[in-house]
Amino acid sequence: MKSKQNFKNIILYLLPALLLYSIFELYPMIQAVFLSFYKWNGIGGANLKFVGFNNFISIFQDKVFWMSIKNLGIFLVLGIVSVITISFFLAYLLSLELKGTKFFKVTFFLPVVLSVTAVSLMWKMILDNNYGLLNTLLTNIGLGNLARAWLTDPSVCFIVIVLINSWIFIGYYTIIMLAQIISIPKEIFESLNMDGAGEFTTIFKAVLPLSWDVIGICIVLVTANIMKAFDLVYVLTSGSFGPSDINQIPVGLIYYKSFISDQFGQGSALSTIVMILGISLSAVMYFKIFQKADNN
Amino acid sequence: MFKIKKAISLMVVIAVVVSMMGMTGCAEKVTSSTDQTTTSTSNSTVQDKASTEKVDLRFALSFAAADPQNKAAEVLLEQFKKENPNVTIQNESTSSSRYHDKLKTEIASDMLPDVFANWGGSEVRGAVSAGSFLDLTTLLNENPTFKNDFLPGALSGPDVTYEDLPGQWGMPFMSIVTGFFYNKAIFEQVGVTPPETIEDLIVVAQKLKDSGTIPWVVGGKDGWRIEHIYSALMYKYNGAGIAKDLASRKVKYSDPQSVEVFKVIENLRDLGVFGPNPASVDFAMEQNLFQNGKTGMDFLMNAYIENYMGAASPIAKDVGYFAFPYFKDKPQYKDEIMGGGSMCLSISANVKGTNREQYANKLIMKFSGKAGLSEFVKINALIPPVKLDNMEELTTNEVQKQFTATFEKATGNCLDITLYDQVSSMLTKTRSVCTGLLNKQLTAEQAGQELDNEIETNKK
Repeated sequence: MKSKQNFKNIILYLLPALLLYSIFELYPMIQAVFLSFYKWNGIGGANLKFVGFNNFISIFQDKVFWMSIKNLGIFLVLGIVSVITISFFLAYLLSLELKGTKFFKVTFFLPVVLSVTAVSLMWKMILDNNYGLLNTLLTNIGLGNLARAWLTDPSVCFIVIVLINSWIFIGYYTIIMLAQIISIPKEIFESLNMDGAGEFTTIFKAVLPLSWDVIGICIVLVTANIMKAFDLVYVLTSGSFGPSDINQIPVGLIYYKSFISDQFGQGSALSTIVMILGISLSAVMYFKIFQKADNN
Repeated sequence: MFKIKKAISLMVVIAVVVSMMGMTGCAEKVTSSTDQTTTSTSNSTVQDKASTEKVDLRFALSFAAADPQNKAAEVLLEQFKKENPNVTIQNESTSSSRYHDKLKTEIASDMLPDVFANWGGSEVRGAVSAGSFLDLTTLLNENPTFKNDFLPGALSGPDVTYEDLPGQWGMPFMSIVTGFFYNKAIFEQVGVTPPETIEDLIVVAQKLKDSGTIPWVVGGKDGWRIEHIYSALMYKYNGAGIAKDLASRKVKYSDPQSVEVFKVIENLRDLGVFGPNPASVDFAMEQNLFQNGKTGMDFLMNAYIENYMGAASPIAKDVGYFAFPYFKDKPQYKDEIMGGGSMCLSISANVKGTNREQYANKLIMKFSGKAGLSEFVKINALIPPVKLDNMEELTTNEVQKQFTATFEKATGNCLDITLYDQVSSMLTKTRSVCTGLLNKQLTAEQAGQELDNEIETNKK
């Protein structure tokens, strides 16, 4: 009787969240999948024309799509490696309770609370080719040969964008990992200390294995964040995702197809592809990581 | 106790659900109140025009607050508010670079402002065809004096009409002419004179470059800057009719007459005419560099006269003008220019039958009528699509006179090269490709091919 009553209460409390999710997430998702089989120019009142899989075929035949996938790959690999390793390293340092820990906790977390658009604009000014802080500094310290067009030079521009994204979110994952590290029983560290283990041994034999679950969750979160990154790239490239599509990412291409090309059908098809890709990647990473965690 | 807890839980859930429904209902609230207004006023649209009923009118131009054209717009809006005290204007104007995205989003969500600027052409063709724009033919026919004030051809330009969509979809508002602003002091210092041909321009640019000045600054990061250069070069190389030939697919972008022009841009780039890394310079920086005397010349429109020659400009007294040079071996296209009917004003079809319609009509006539356009001419912001009797009086600026003279002696003119194209993404793609060419990511042949690929992709 009591469990039946509890169940009803649980449903009642879950209902608002479920309704919000259904209206604002599930319904648009289903509608996007539906639209991916139609040709529509996005104007209210205009006719939808059923085209079957033509939208998907067009996407797969588009050179820019494959460039965006390549960029996404670079974004994921470089983004995950940079965010996770730096966050873990910073979290470990903060866990040592050194002098100034509180100050650094706030400093590392600050970019997370700032608007991504505002931060992007700030970096755009810092990296300006002619009058940006970075090139000016490099020139003044005699390293002018390193100065370059950071946001338009094809050899570095996308990597710069990835690193800026990592810079923004490192603080967030640092705090998550810090919470995990400080929850590790102190006795483990004491016993390792008594056995003469150094810092590296402590990190790789104790801290890392015991934090693997949380690191796994962080990797999944970073992946999700990268899959939907749009505002940062949009602002840094002044909305062009270029020059000439060089910084194009799948979400940017969805925007281009839908709002510039007036091809909402193709935009929806691309959204469906990105959704399937995101779910698959997250699932694979999550299970792989948790398999490793269980083995540990 | 348990029953009280259950009751509280239920009330909390109901409150959250109702508030969510209220939020989704809000999006319809405006529409439903508009519908109610439509219903209640549908029988009274013919009633007296001096209504005291409060009316909200949404208005948008593509000028940011800092743009000199905005000053003229503010003057006219103030006048309109005094003449129609019951009308509140919600001014949603924004800078040109953001305006295109804003316009697209509003078209997609059927939330166009009541009176708004646009450039006609392929960008809004879909919206016109879907009935989002009000046909202004009736307004023109009911106001013959206003109609007859327009210059011949202005009302049938490609910015306000479509061959296959009968109707008047916009009021001509702004004609633009492109040309070169140049720094007379720098030219004198280096010992050069304004070039007449492209070949002369290269010689002048070399001398400017040797003196340590950026010869011809281009904000290539903003694609429209280099796309304008491509368009202007195309008209000098092929005549302004090339735009229609490309749109009708009689000519392809990968054909020699287009690729040759991309090669000209490549050559200018490689010679350093545009300065180092032009693809990393945006339009704001371009203007900044010219205003601070770091560059010899800047290819722009007459609308920017006030920026460079206004009281706040540090080089106001040193600014001169010359027309876009022509190719020595193509003298027949010497007076083919990039220019013409540019921005127009349109009315959203959503006002039809509402109490906003008459005020939208009044506002559009205010801005695109003789008196309104005079305000813009006073600040050298545009070449008007109407014959102004006091044009000589209003145009005191020598450079503005020279721009106008270029326009008047043009043998052919067109705006952006993709003006007639039915593929709505062609303008953005052309700009992206031009920036890619400037940034050495594409060769001339690849640039042409990319544009043809875009056409092919959008055929499906």
